[in-house]
Amino acid sequence: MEILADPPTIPGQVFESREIPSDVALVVPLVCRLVELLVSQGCIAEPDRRKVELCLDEAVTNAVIHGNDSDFQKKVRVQLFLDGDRWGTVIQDEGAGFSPDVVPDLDDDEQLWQECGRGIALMRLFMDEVTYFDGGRTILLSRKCPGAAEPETD
Amino acid sequence: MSTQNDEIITLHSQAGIVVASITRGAFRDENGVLGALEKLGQAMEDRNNLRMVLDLSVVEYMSSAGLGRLVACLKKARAGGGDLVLARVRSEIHELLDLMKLTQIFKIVPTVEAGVAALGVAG
Repeated sequence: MEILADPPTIPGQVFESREIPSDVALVVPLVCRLVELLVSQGCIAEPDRRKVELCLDEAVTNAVIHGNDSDFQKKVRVQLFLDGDRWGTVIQDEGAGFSPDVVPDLDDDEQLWQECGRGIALMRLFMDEVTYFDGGRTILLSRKCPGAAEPETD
Repeated sequence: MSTQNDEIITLHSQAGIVVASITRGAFRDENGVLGALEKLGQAMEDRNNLRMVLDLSVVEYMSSAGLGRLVACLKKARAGGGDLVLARVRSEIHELLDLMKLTQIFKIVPTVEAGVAALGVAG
């Protein structure tokens, strides 16, 4: 997994920005609100709602717990954007970033008994794009809107 | 571990097998599924030959944290010479377990009775 050094350039139009202190109890209410907004904007079809909810949950929880070490003084910022026929989110924490070496390779069957490290794998399964920026302090997730053409595969 | 009830998980014995049921499937945080799995893991600490069926019928949502706690429970059960079987798993959770290849390490059965029977025969 590659982690880019620079911060991302958010494509398209940001239509929502939120910020929470790093308290895990605030994650579920925030994610529920974000998903409602995405549904109201037509970004998510109902059958995909739970998958998107899970991805946002994973990303924000990682930012709170692993990024900011649950330090209430540190904030997690979330932006939602629309870019043509895709939507996305950029989630930033104020932590030290991370190395890709610490993420277990769950394609390796010997790693099946790992108790952590599945959040990134889940996001990769359910989103079209998962990219880390800024040394791991920022994640960009994006997905095609319903009705848009499927992303091309190599 | 005969009979024990609390807010987020219930435990009872059936034919010598412990049946654990998560009761707050709609709550996603430590007050619901995550807390129940944490509590279960603590209850399984240092128990030998513990055979358990975990009823997940009310669980609608599970994050990677929940999956990790499930794996931790299975490891504890096996480490003590016992086993853990998942019962009444909803399709969306089953899909998640499958995608994460966890169906390779978990035995999943359609009913609690099937779980009790599987563990009884095995034990």
